[in-house]
Amino acid sequence: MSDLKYQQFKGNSAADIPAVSENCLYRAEIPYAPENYSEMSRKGYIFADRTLGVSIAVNKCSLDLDKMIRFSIEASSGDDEDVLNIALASFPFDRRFHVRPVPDNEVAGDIIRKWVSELSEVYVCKYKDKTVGFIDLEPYGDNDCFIHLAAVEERYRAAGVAVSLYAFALKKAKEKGCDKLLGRISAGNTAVMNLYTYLGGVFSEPVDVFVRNEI
Amino acid sequence: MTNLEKYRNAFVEGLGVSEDQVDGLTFQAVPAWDSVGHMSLIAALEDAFDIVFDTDDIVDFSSFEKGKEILAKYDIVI
Repeated sequence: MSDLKYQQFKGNSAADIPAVSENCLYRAEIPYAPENYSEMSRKGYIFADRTLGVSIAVNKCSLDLDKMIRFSIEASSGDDEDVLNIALASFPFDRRFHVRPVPDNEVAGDIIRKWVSELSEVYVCKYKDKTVGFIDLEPYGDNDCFIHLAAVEERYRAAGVAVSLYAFALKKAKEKGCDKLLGRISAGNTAVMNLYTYLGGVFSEPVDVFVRNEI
Repeated sequence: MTNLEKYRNAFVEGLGVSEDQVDGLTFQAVPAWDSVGHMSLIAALEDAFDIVFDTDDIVDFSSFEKGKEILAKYDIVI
């Protein structure tokens, strides 16, 4: 376990984010605006990633979701360890977890463990009785669902497991009567971006992620 | 249309690649053959040959050549 304390901030602009002061890990999120960069730099941060909100209008989706769900998917039951192991192996650079300028697996591992322990509605994809991927679908606001975390074991990543999981999430959102299926992804994650686009996702609300400048 | 023509067309349609890219194509050799592209290819092949692939075959379908072997299991000779 990493001994470093971790502080996370969200604001509307750089003015809302405190300067780094303690010897601890910092991660800050603010909506994209070019004028933030110099102030964030003065406060001791460096730019780490840009994320995009994504929204799928559930009732406008005319895809044959059952045809897209080609793997067995079920509510998680006793799959926590598998889910954690897949998550630990799946995010080598993801800035939700890598809060140091240079990716640090020990620190990221601690944050991933916390994230996974807080997941509440996990569905797992099984192939030959093995868990090969998962997706967590959380209620959001009054009438939407949010994909909080999803990952697929590397070997099965492009074999249709991800498509099956996201199509399943969309089907679940329909069954729950949700208006929108929401998510947030790194702008650099083109694989997931293509997947959301295929499902009718629309991207908006860019948010910049900054971490403490240790370089 | 011959089975080979149908097979090649499914790659063009499913992956959005040009005809001259199809021969010898392997999984992830082009950006279009990702998770979404893979399932589009599978759907295009199922439509073209009126079959439904087993899950094992969806996982194993890793190249233009491997796909011919898999289709032979469904009595489709390319």
